[in-house]
Amino acid sequence: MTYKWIGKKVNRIDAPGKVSGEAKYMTDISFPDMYWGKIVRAEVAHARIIEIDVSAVEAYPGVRCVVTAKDVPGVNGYGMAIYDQPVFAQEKIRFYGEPIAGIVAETKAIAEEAAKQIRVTYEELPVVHDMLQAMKDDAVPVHEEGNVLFHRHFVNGDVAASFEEADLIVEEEYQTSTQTPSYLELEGGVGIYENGQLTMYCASQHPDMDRKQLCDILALPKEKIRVVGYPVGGAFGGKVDLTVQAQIGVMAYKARGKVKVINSREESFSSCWKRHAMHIRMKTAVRKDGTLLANQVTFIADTGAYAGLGEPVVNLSLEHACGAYRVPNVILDAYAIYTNNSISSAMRGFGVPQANFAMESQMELIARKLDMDPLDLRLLNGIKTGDKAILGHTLRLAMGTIDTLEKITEVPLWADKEQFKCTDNKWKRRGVGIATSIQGAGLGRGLKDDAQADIRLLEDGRFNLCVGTPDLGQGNLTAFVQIAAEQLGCDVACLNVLCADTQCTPDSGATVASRTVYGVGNAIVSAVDTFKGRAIELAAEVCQTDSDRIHIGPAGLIVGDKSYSYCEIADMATKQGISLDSRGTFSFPEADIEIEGAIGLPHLLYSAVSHVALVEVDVLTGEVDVLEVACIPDTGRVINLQGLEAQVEGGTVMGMGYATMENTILKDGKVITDNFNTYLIPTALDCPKIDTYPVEVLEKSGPFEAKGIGECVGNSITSAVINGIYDAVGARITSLPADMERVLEAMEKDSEGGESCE
Amino acid sequence: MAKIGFQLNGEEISLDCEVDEILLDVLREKLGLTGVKEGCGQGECGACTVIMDGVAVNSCLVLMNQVAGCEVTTIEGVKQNGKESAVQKAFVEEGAVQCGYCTPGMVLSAEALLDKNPNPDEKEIRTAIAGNLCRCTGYSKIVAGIQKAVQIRQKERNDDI
Ligand code: FES
Ligand code: FES
Repeated sequence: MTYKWIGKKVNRIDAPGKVSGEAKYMTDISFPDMYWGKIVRAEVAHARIIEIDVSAVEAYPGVRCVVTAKDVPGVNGYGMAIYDQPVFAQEKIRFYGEPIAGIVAETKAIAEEAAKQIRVTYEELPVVHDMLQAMKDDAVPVHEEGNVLFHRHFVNGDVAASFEEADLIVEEEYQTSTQTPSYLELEGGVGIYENGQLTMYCASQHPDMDRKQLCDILALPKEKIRVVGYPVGGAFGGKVDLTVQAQIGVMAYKARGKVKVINSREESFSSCWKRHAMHIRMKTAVRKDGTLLANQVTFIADTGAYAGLGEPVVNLSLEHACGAYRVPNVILDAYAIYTNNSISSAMRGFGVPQANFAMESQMELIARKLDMDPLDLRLLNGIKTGDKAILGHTLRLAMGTIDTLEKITEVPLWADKEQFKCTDNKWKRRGVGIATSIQGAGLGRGLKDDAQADIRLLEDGRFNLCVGTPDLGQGNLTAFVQIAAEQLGCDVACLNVLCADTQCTPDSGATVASRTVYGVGNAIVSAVDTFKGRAIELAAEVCQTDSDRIHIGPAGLIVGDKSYSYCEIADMATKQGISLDSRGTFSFPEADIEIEGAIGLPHLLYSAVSHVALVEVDVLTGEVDVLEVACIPDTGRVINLQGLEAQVEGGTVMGMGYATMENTILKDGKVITDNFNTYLIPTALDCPKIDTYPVEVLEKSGPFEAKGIGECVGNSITSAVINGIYDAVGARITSLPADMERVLEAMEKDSEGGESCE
Repeated sequence: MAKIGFQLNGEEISLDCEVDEILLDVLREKLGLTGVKEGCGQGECGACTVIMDGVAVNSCLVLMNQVAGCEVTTIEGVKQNGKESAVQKAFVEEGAVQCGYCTPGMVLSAEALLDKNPNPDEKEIRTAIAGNLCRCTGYSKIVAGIQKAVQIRQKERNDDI
């Protein structure tokens, strides 16, 4: 099958507007008669509120109004799973940076000045900052119901017997850091409340879900709220939950006007949704030939002050507890724990990067102890289509793990690794590490994961392609256009995209969970097919002919030996008084079993990625430099190679940052790494050369046999780097990130000194 | 309040503002030039980059009294007669743009580099954009974009001769 657009180089449709500076982000929108809002935030992490005195501020010149919890017209609570997070704190403060009040004023400067006049009287409570302590029965409660938000226990097979049978048992504890998504665009936007209607302009990963929560907060019906959420200046999971929409909504509601709010970076880093820090214990049983027999795993995740998506995140850790491997016997426990450590929820990978780091570390230890090649060990245990996954479900769809692993043998970084590891610098040692990962796509069993897409023919013969899922930067809109153009047989230039505006786009679900190319892509194919059917029916009627004499051409319909442009078809439709607007829908297929008490588990569709990393360690300072990376993604059919490479490169660098430098440091619940001078993310000088080697394990149920990849590309790189450090200097890093101090410490503990090349 | 005159995207302008107002705020709020972005407000991210007298600077660290008499170019002033510059074209071609929030700053840092050093090596390119954070791309395609812009500029120069 040859394609005209699938797999072809198509430039990103949003790039011209972004390089010229013309693209208007939600934080760029302004109106002449607009107020500025400022969120007043808690300066303690745990306290009982005695009084919030706003009197001085209400009288402040230029202040339009002040809002607190009592001004919330509907429910003073929101959250993706449970509404446990107040819009404005009421009675209690649970994290440093939590919104307490909102000031609406004529200018930004007045709002900021007035914010300083608010007097809050607190009774401070002990700060719960250690998740392991927080789990104990006598711990200070962050929420009345106790600090264990969620616990799931799961058993499959006979673990005790496997531990008896095992030739080797590897047991280790791991600690992962709190990663901050660090999207460059600060949270913010404009809320307009006029004539009983709210319009919210704020970057979003799912406008329809934002609207649902805003309806409850403002006690307004859905018809009275419009949410516009695109373009988005990066999100990485951090804009799935509400960011500042709830506060802006209430401010606009009380001000009866337009209110703009933009967080500062310090406010952002204190109050944004982060990746859960986890404490992981893993005990793995292996036969001496390398066959994995059993795994006993406990995940304890710090979800911070509010639930966010804590429960589904740890559920995903549980599902991915054994990485990309067949392990017949497991005992798994996953906990999400409340603390006063800011807030954690969704972030790219959604609980999988933590699990992957632990499992891939175990694999490296096992290979070393059995004196096996680490790639052979992975190939031996790698999961395949038809296998039973650890939760007991059958993997019916394409699994690319083995394909990505086999490809490693052809990658120069691995094939010629001894050469790559040579260096003349006697204070440096180099190592090559590998790791592999899978990532479930879609929301999983029991969470209806539906996508809708519309195709609408315009008068001028062009089409509007309408999807609710915003492009957060990953390029899904360009992939959508390619899919629609291919299915329609037209030129990509004939399609406009409307996106993420509840007024004119359907609910396509969220841009999360590596689900949009597959789910929304399939909905687009279905929308186009419906459109084609309707257009043919219309032409048959108008031309008084049989529909099988009508074909779809590149720019319209061909009826016998006559052709009609789409412009003419649009005209025909108007004259006949019928609409050719077509909606396509798609529902994710679900796994064959459900896991009781774990909604969203298991998945059926998985992407697979392997990474190879060349790492250099400075033996004097412990500094780690990632020199080169090869990434082997399986994403089914590649729709846009440049877009795939872009995802690989960005995901790899984010996972590398997680491995070597990123660390949100909290002191008594306060984020002290609250700007880019202390929370370090990779710069252009830190980044390696990255080569992408796609393997295309075609997934028949996908649009043009494609599936998603946005998350999986960021998982295994972390372990590949950590395993590279092990190869270089023999030091095992069990806590992320591998900063200089940790590397030196680990080298002292278990260094074999590494070998130099001479 | 003071009257501050400077050249903005090729045009002389004169503005009433406080001398300690920040250039970034003036550009975005007073002049509506929202292509200039704010990512940190502290000179750490480069999203607010503009070119001032030939040098790429963080406009969040520039006070208005420093701007008097200077030539300032923002992303809005990069297109010439509605046509994309070599850097802009190359960024589109090479896929150097994802969420696009760092892009205006990146483009301007690249323009400033190539104006001074028309043929930089990879290290020089990476150094020139080291102050521009990008969370999406991993920088590879941005570097490739700047390398491609070098070629486009060379070709344009040759065509001119
Ligand atoms: S906003 Fe100026 S450097 Fe970040
Ligand atoms: S493209 Fe998103 S920050 Fe660079």
